[in-house]
Amino acid sequence: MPNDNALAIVEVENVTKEFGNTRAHRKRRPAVDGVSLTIDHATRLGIVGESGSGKSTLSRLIVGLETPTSGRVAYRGLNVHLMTPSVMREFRKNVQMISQDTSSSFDPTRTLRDSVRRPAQELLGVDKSTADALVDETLAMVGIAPWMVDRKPGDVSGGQRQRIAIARSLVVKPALILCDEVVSALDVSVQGTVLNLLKTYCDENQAGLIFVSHGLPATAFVSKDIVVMRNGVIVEQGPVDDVIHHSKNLYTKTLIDAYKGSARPLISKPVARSPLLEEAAR
Amino acid sequence: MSVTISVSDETLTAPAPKVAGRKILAGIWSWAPLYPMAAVFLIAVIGPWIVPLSPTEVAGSPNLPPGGAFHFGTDSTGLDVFSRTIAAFRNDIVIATLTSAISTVGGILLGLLIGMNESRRGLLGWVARFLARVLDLIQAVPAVVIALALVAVVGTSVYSLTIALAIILTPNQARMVRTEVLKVRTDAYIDAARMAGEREFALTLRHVLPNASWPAVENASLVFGSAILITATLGFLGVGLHPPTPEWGSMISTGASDAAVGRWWSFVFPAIALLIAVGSFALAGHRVFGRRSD
Amino acid sequence: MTDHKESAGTRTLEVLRKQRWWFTRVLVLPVHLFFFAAAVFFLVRMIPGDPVEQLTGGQNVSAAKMEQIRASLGLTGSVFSQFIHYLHNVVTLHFGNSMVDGLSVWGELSQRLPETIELTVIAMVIATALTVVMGLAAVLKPRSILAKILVPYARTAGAIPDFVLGVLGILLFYSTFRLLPAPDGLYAPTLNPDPTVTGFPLLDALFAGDTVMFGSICAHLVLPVAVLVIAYTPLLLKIFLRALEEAVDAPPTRFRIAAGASRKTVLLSVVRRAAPSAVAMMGTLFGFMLGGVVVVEQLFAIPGMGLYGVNAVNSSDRTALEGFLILVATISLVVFLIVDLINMMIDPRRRPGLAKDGAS
Repeated sequence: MPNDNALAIVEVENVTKEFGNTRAHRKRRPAVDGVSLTIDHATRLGIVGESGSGKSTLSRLIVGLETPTSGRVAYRGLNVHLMTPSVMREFRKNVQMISQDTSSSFDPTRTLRDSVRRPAQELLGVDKSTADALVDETLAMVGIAPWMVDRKPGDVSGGQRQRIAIARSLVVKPALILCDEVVSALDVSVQGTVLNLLKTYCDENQAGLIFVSHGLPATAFVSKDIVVMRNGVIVEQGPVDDVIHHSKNLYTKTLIDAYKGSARPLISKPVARSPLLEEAAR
Repeated sequence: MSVTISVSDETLTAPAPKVAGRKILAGIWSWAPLYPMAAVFLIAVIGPWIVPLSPTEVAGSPNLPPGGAFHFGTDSTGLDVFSRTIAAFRNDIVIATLTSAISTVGGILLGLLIGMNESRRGLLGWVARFLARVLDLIQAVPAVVIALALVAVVGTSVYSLTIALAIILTPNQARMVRTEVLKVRTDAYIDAARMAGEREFALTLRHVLPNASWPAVENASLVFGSAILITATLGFLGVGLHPPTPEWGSMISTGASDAAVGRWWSFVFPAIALLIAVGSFALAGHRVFGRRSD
Repeated sequence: MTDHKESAGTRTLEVLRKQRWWFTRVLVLPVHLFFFAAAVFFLVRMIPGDPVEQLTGGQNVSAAKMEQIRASLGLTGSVFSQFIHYLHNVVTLHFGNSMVDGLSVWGELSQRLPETIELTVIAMVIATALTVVMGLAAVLKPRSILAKILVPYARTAGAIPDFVLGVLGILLFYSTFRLLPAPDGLYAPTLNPDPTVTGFPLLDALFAGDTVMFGSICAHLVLPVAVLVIAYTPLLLKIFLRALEEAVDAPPTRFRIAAGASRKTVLLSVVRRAAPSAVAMMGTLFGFMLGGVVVVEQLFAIPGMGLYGVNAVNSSDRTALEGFLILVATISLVVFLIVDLINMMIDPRRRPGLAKDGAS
């Protein structure tokens, strides 16, 4: 067993990903082009960029859902795409990704509990009742009542589904969590709760966190370092403060300027009540 | 003066018999589209036992119009049209049921196999693409012609016809499932299943199959109808079930020459039975699966 | 900086790459034909019974004669050599002679083919025209009585048995109302056929100026064509109606209307959007119609290919069946190719492998 805190969890080594397998398609730009990253337990990394910058593809490469066209992704030194099944299980247990809820993040033909339980059963090798206990524990963490997951995905709201999705990833206590646009579709008031939840989990469990988003405020909140991507390439990376306030890169500066205009605080004040309700309450 | 309000016992018991009865009636009425299909199955099962006369042996003088002992008259060889029409249900329904089952199950499995693997490199990918091409080619040639070719090889027993029809009707089922699989593949929960450590094969059966099979299942009622029609067409052309086995297609074929001289009964009754059989399944399918697809 | 000295080779490759979409599709046709020919080869050899015995009719024949017959049927040698021989024959159109009446298979087929094609083409043209008219009518006046009839009619797609319609037609229009001629072939038996110019009976009658014959053929074709059209138009209509509805609701159409385009322009654009699915369906429609033609030829005694095939199956006439199957397969594949190409022409998104330069 490799030792814990000093070693990197995931190493992205000069990874390039091109899509399509006909020569005509290859002439297009690769989705990810020569990216290298080192990720360990202390990582609090934000990845920002516009749509099409390659951040989602990069996330998928990191968690092993895509195979690099060149370069390699390594988990504790082992190439993710050449792993034996048992090492793969350990990899998946330790590296989890949470996606944006596009209302298809859960199998519509199965209950939510079944979906949340699945990682525990497959990756931890526990039986159903132990898995259930873990599920309930994790649900408490995200503030979802246990009975709610005995329903089907269509029966709960989007915000609830997103939190249940987070629970699904956390139930195996991963060492690295990758969040891909997890708060972009949520109400602003819920965003804060979720971000705090993620931050707390990672702090308490010594887990690494990668936060991919096209929204700067949320990213800035959870990250210590930021990577700016454009057209598949990293154009800038560094500590959050430096990149946001002292960037020398023209593209980054344009990106940030777009946000400076809206001085919206991240955690919103309590939602204003309808004047009619106020009236009735008197 | 105090007002006493009396509550009679009747109002306290609920629901009142009338309302309950209306609910049951509504339930019976809402499932009505399935009754013709049930009737068809019933006749298929008990038909040969309840017919008054033999469906395969001459019962009277030929070309008698409907009336008397011969409810539907006799055909040009003296066979009772009524008994033959009723007895014919069994053969066609057996063939159609087997064909629907085989082609739906086969179509789902093939559609899964092709849809999940057709964009992979390696052996599985080539196999999937090859199968897809084969299925396309089968669909390019008219069904009747394929049926003719297959019947020449496998003969015309009930089971041979089932095989031939299954070969003809499975490709469309597979195509519908494949289209759905291609959509389901990219849904987030499939990747989530991979993240949860599920292996490709288990994931395909556990998540893709339940979500991508419905087009084939919905279409099964139409497959039923198609099977009956193709069997009847083959019977009409004289390459179906051997006479004097009662079969609507061959009955209509003999009825055709009668029709040319105005003897309508040997053609009309089998034709109506055929339309009822095909229509009842389409009706039932429409009711069960809703108005999603026409 | 472009290099102006591109070699002719590079330029040719450039042209080839851009035109790739259609000639790859065309090149694939021989491959498909090959597969079909192979399938027919093995299928026919799986027909039960010994073809030699069939030919000799159980008479006592010398071994040498048997070998001779075997050789003429192409059954000597290894399977592989038989296959090569067979392929050679197919490509050179040597389909052998019928095992039943000894007539040349290709001779018979080539004579009957035009008649079948004539029937199919007429039916398809009318069905297509009707579909376009009915589709537009249903979409333009969705609440009219016409629409209320057309939509359920379209739903019956593929459920109307053509032979039932045919017999019904004979019953009603011939025996009851005496409006149409008897189902005794392509034209009245008392007439003499015209000299073959094109092979198509109708055209030959025109060329010969034989109006009596022309009229007789038309009268005899009314029912067969009507049966095919009524039975199979719903297939096309259903797809066309659905595509039209989608096209009418599509954002580009709405934009056109909002931008004030004329009624005619919008209509044209809607039809153009709906066309690809309908055109794709026409390939399948042709397949169904060809199947229907087999039935119709039997019923109305029209001497076409379909009748030939059915007889071949009934009498286990292997050589005839072989020729028939290959011919039908070839026609089907060619029609599919044409339909595919037309579709790829009107809807550029369907062209495979074309690099989408510019967008995305």
